[in-house]
Amino acid sequence: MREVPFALLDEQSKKEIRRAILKGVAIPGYQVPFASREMPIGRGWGTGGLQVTLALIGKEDTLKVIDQGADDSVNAINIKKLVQKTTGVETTSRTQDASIVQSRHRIPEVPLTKEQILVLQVPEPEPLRAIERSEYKTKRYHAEKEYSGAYLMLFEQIMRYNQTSQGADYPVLVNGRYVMNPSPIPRFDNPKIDSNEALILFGAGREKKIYAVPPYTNVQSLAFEDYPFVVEQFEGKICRETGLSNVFLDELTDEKTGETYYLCNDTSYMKEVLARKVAVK
Amino acid sequence: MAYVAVRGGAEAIEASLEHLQYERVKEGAYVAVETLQATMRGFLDQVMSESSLYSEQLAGLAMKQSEGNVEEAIFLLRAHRSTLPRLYYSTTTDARNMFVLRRISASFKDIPGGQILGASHDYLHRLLNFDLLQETAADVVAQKAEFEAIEVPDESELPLENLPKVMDYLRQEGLIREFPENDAEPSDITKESMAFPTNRSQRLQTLTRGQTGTVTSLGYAGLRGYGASHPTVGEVRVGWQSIHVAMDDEDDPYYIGAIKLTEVESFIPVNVDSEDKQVLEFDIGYGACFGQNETKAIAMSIVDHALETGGDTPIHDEEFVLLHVDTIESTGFISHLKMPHYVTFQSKLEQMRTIKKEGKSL
Amino acid sequence: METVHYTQRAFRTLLNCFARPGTAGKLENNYTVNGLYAETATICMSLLDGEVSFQTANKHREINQSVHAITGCQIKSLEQADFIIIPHGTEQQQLLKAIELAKVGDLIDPQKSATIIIELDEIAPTITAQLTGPGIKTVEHIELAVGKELLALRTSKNKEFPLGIDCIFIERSGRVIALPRTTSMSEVTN
Repeated sequence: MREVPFALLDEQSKKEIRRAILKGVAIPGYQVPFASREMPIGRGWGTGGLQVTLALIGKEDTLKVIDQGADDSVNAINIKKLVQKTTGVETTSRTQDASIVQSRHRIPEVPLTKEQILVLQVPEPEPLRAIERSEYKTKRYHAEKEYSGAYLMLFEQIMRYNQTSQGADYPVLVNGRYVMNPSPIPRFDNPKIDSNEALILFGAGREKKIYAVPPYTNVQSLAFEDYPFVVEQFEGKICRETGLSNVFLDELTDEKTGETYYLCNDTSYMKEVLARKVAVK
Repeated sequence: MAYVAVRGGAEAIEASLEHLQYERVKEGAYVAVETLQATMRGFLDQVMSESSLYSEQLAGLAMKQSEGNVEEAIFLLRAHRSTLPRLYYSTTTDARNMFVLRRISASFKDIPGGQILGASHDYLHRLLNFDLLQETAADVVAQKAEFEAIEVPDESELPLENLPKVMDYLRQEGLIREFPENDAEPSDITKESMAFPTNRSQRLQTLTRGQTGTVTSLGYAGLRGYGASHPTVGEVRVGWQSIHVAMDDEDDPYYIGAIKLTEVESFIPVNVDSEDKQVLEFDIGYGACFGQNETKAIAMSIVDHALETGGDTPIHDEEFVLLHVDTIESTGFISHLKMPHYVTFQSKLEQMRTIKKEGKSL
Repeated sequence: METVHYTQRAFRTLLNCFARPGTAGKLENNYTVNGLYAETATICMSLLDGEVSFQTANKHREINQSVHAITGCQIKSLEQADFIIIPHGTEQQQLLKAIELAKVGDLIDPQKSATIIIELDEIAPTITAQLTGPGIKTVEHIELAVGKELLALRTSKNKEFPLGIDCIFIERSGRVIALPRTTSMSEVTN
């Protein structure tokens, strides 16, 4: 009597999300409003990304879900389980094997291909929210391409600290037109959005916005000529397991020795590199 | 370190879910959904109102499944709602045609059709009834029989349908500020997300499904001084409201059932310019919600009016009110703080260290 | 139940065409609407419902009614329609008029613009066009049977980005190509 539809959402909801996705692709970096549906997981726990994934996914897809770089974190597993339960699709933790990658706060270290779609979960889609709380006004700033506030915010940080203090959520300019919040990925991942081979979709469930960066689209992190954009520096630090240094690292403490050590944050990539090392030996 | 522990993985989640299921049954006690439906009217009414889904049975099921956790029950119902196709829109329904169970006015001692108290907690001494600790099923049946044996006196044959509205009485006298008729198709925020400035139907829809406590608090703030409105409750009516759908424009609409509804009209005095002089007239603040939720509906009428009229306090600010009253949104975002944030934290940490090391000297 | 999968596949094809302008997609044929290619019916089934509106370039009564019947989509004027369908065989003047009238959105809500679904027949000579813009690595070349007037009109409707129209071209062969408003298109003359 109460059969849940394939991919949970009813057909009308999917149509609305699909229309919003197509508009998003046609207007790169612009936040397309959509009537976000309530999902069986917490609003703020990735419902925007989940709705985008559910509107995309078909029987032939293979899904990877990561949270903070990890495939086995509580939330990633929960989302993967829900999609799996309502669609029966294959899931994977190997980035290369996935046709859809849903992620919170990271872009995988393995470069994406044109066969793949990356779906990023977004808590606060509005890059100007920190300087203007009113949605009515921020929408008008975007309309007028009035982005002095965004630059001013970074400028004030530089005045105070001699560098920007924006950690994640570092704003970018898409296709020379819209300032966009790339979601709370570390700055380390910002350059990966620029001219990526894959289509990147952003879903903000609570804030009811969908936006997109098509493949091969120019995406630049906001910066000044004399203060160029810099990513997180892990100078002299390497992943304890793989020896890699050109990856985003997690900082951990050895419980026995009290020593600080580092691990590759992208866990599936770390596993893969380790497996390769073993094979070589 | 705590960060690592959060990567509990699949087994930890499974164990946690099992633990939760065990909590529901560990006392070995059982309650049927029918029992909840029959005895938990107040809970179901609140939950149906906040979830925008009118089904006592599903609300009862949600209550059972969530162990009586309001936030969770609403969550279950809203998520279920997302899986349902929207087949029809109902035709306009007028609360003048309500089958009234309760109807009071604070504005007049005597109103056409009379004050009808119905069933209410308002006149109750809130003392715990310890007899209920011993109450048995047989007691309930016996009590029910006693009540039903009471003969209804003739004079109580009141017409409970088509009761006149208090507002209409004032309107005839020209004391209600008149606005042009607005027959615009109402918006549906569950179908198209709100853009600011909003229209009234978007505001009313957001408020009626708002969190009971939040709407009440905002109404309270408006009343206490953070708003210009000091209303008099013109009429609160609670009753069964018939719902119809039309297949197309020509056919008569079909009756699909009745829902219990609370409707409130508050009278708020306002200055109006009229032919070179200032006069006082009444504005109407409107509140309506699924079920019997009188406090919420009255608070809603205050907030509705506050949003209709300008003012510089938060309850006049539509973004402040409308973007923060939803149960699912507020509880969802607050609870998301429990999720791991170590990537963003690491990013911030790295920056703080660099700034410490290289930052400007004052 | 099958509809769910059929519309999902159609959407993914369209999405790929939108994300990579110039890429030819192939849609399935499950529904027929007299006067339209089956692929157009597939697009209607995947994107249209009662919450949006459409119109045909020649305000074709039967087609309008059929599309409304299978999707529930509202029929509105060309100026208001969210989707404009240009059936094959539409007269050149009507075709241009429909695109001329299509809404382009405004700066606050550029998404409130029309998507044009254009059925091509082999009447117009095929041109080779060069495409650039988001979704295209450097340049893309396509062959399309569209007239110069249509090309020029599309360019002029899209000159004030983010305002503009998004076009989906369907050939009799079933080949589908999408040109979102960001794609610049110019004819290559040899």
